[in-house]
Amino acid sequence: MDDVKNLSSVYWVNMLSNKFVFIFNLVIPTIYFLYININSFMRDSVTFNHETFKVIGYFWAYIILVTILNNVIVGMISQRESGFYKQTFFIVGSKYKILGANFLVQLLVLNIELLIFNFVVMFTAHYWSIKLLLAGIMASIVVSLPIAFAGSILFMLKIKIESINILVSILLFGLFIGMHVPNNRENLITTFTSLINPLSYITEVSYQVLLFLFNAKLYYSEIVVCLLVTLIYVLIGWYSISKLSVNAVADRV
Amino acid sequence: MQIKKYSLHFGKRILAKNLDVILAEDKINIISGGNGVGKTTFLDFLAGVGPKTATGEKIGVPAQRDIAYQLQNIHFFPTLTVKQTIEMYRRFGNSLLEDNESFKKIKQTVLDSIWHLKVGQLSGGERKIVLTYGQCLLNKKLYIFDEPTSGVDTTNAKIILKLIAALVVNNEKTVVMTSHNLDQLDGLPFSKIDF
Repeated sequence: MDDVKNLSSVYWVNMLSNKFVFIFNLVIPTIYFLYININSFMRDSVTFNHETFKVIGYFWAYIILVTILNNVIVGMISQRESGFYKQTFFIVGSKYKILGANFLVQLLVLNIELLIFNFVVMFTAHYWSIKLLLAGIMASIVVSLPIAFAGSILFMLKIKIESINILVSILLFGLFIGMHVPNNRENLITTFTSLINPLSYITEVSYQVLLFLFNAKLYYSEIVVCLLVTLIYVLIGWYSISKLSVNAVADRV
Repeated sequence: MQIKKYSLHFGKRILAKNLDVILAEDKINIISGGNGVGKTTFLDFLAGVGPKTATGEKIGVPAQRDIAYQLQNIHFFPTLTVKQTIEMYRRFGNSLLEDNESFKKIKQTVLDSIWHLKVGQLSGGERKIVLTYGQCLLNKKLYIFDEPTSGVDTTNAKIILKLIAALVVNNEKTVVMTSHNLDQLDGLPFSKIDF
């Protein structure tokens, strides 16, 4: 555990030097949120309801997915393809420690992003609630690891660093389209096929967390499907990480 | 340490066939040979990260967790200062090695003047000194260096080789490295393995 802590502090210092990722992960969705909710400034306090929870869940889903994909998964692929990961591997001695340290730092980054976004939401809605901040932290803790596991499937691709960002953009675009394909969640199977999309999965878990904290309600059927999807994500990640090579796979470094 | 029947091929191109390699434990083992003969791949194989087409029986080679491996190309945290980089190595290694006179002298004469600079601001040679210094702080049984002095001026190359030699002479570690510049090794305890 000390090794992970030590490496995390190194990753943290390194991460602070690249603040551009914050702009992409946080500033863009925040500006869009303000743009579509500009009228709320003029109104009195907005009460949070199911609809508000859904909207907040969408934005959280974007922030969480983009942060995990760009900072954890693409970050690891870049490190592997540049030889950086191999060098670190022979200092630390375990790929799990490197992955763990990288993940923990990005989880902290993610929570800072969500915290800032949630303050913007409360400021816009003129509605201040500690529950929203808590829900953001809970949702990020619950979904980040499964999403990182699911994203690990990208480790299996033989792809150059220059191409990975384009691929991730295409992937995100596809997931956004997939999220809006009409899919009536009439039974467990249709709910499952809908939630296998990571964006829908994060939105749903975020929604459930918000419902639980604000209304003290739990929808067990959705939670069961979310658990099933989580299990599938973990299995994908387990296999992908076990195959993660120390050497660059696209070009020799 | 010994590698028996080492073979390597890439497709139809055979680079090594049933080679027996003996690594002296009290010397710097220099793997020498022209470009493209498979020196780096041999180091990868030794470190347990070689391609599937590199085969052979390892006898007495330490487990992967006991191997330090410095790659030829430096890809490391460029935003960390030299101080932060060395402190990172210390956390994963054994700072007692720094009591060695060679280490102390190099720390004072070279590292102290660049101590607060970021690694990304250093020249290639300075980076190699910093990382070699760091690698030598790791508490491992086998140390592998891939071309540690390539692209480095004569003065800095001597500093790097002094650090590596201290591992063998003062700390009884086994070192394997590749190098094209054998004339730089004059006076150092080394054993040459031709590929």
